[in-house]
Amino acid sequence: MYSYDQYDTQLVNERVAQFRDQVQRRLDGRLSEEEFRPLRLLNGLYLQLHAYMLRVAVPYGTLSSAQLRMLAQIARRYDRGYGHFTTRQNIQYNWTKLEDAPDILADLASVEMHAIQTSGNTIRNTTSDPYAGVAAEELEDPRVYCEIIRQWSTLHPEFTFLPRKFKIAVTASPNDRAAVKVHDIGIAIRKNAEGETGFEILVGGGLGRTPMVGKTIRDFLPKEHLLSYLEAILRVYNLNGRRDNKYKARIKILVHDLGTDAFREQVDAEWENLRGKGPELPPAEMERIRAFFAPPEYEKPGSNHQDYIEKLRTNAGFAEWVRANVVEHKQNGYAIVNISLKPEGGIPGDATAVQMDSVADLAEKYSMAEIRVTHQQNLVLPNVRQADLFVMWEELRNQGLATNNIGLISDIIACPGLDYCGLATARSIPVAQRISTRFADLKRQHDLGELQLKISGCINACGHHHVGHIGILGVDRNNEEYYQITLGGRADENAAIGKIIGRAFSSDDVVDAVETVVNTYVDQRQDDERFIDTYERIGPKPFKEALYDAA
Amino acid sequence: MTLLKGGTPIEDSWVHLDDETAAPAGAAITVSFARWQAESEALKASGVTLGVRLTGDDAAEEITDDLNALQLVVIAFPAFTDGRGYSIARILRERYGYEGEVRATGNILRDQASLMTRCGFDAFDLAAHTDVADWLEGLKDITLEYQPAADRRRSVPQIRHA
Amino acid sequence: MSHQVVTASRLRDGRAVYLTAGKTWSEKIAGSLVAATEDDSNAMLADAQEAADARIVVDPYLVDVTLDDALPTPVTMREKMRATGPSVTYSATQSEYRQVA
Repeated sequence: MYSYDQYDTQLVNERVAQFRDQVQRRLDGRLSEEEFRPLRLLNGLYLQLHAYMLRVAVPYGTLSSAQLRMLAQIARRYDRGYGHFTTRQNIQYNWTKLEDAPDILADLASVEMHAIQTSGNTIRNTTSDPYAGVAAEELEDPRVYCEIIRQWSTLHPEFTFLPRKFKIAVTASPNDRAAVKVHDIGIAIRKNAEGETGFEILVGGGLGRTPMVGKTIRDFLPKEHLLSYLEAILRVYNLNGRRDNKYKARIKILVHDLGTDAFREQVDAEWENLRGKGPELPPAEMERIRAFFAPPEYEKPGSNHQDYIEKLRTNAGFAEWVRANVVEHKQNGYAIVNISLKPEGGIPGDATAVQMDSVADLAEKYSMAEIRVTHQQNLVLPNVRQADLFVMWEELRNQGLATNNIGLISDIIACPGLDYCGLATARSIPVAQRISTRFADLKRQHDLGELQLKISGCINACGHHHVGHIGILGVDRNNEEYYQITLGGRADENAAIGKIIGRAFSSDDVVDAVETVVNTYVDQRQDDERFIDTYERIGPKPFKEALYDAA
Repeated sequence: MTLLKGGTPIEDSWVHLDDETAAPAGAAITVSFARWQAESEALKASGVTLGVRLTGDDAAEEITDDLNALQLVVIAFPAFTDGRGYSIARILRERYGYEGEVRATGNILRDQASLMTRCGFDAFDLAAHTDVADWLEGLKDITLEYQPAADRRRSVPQIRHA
Repeated sequence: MSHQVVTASRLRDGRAVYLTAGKTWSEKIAGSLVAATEDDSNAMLADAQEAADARIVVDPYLVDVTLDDALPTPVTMREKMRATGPSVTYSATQSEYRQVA
């Protein structure tokens, strides 16, 4: 993984000192709250319902064991002993204090981490495939370009006060695990007819109150032009994005209003002036960054590999966990291991300091000291020898981290909702907990198969409900929580926005409604059809009838 | 108001005309973008020293043919969160090579001084209560940058591979 | 008009606090000062604004409450949550939730 040089270190340290000074000026009255607010947001510090919330960037979801231990230490020292992993591969602390924030940032800087641009109307943390670098089917490691974008976007002088926030995601696999079609800019690494790799560039995807799937504006961008092309897109957006209405300020509205072709023409005109110039990196710098992501030295499968095959055959619990949570690695003899942060009845994405330390230890022992954070709010150990899987599984079980529900109905994405968030209109977490408990029977979950259920506590859609196979949106109706169900959304390479199935359900009824939807699928499915396949084949009508006609 | 240029408070020698008042002889004047569009030929012929005032709503590229005739471009920030001026300044400096004064006016904060300087602003119209020494300190907060910009400082990638 | 209390976030730690008699702030809504008239509300908000100017709290505002045995209870979901804290408890370690594997 990437490691800071003296310049990266100096820059992050200077940013910590700058923020320390900004906090001091707020505390001593030189800054008003109105002036301070955008400054603290540029460092990920929110004032939420109960306390300050600090969002820390996990760049493209990659962490070292040392970094994860620091995240655990921060949870213990400055918070209440836990943290919340988010859909953008970040971690949030719910109970921080303003006066502690500079010290937290200094602690983070000591392990090459920061909270720079984790909020604010600027370029946010660039996200990626959690299996980057190890997925069997990927073209190359997308994190090289994520790191290039991270550095280019960090404290960019021109793009710190954009019309609205700006999110970029990069994938290099035909199976999109980074949701690039619902980002402001999605970058998909592709191969052209000549066999060279370059970038397909999508713009204008996003969720929120006007969900849209991104549009391709360039099929194949040569790699050397990445930053000049991004700078051109950002400049067109900065100058022309709407600033009169925050709900219409995202780039998706600009692209939609102009039309994809007209938007592309504006970007191309701007790009003509930037191409081959300033922001583009010298080849030596691209190579310098690429070298950090060179594949590690993998061992040949040893003689104890046979034990693994034997354990799979004889231990049903282990075999089920492998089936649900372990993914094929590009290297023979290795595996990608998902660690579910969705135990039955738990809070999706939450992890205690104890658990973070355990995962850091396990990574050190079994995964070359590397961990990934997924946009599904789980963790991944990317480089585990198959021969180590069984002992590791036993250790995970001891920490409550072996729930084998990856991709199943209880692997729920949920935003913090009204329990923590100042913008929410309803709670998300208790609904996730009740659904997780209702479907606790793992045999039933496995029988239902892949089913993505996503819950947002307000229209801003941080819980990605629009792209859940089953989406749930919490709304406030006369001071009571109601939940609207959408069906048919997906965030993968065939991204689609789900459709509202009908009137909303009360908090008491929503879990039954989800079960009705699931039972309808079971009645209607053919062969091994997944929920989403069945829905796309039969459409909403049978679900609608089952939900509303009986009443 | 305090006008800061090149790090030093100076008197504003410019007369900022509204759209009706005639230009006083011998003065250095600025006019709005609208007035510039209507009267640029006459103004250029009048022999006075000229500047133009832009907002983010103005089509800044329409003054680029006249940049030789302009000693000052004033870019207004109606709110400190309105970042269009940063792009306008970079375009003037980097694409068109404009070397006259680029002045930021309106709602600008100390914590933006360094970003604005990097985008090519060299003069700042500070609100009356601004502590000038403190503002200048703000320029020193961050001494490295990953991106090349209008200030032509060497970026980190350039330093790495010098 | 309905009864009202004044809430804000404390500047230093961001905690939800409520204006009490004597112009102090409490993390508990139970001890907060309750306005019964518009004049009371305005006077309380003015006091709170002074505290904001003195950098004790941030963004004070009025909250509608009902009185239950003199105990103020917010009307809206959001303010109920602010007053009581999250409805989900993080039970020290999530492994206390039933392990399913």
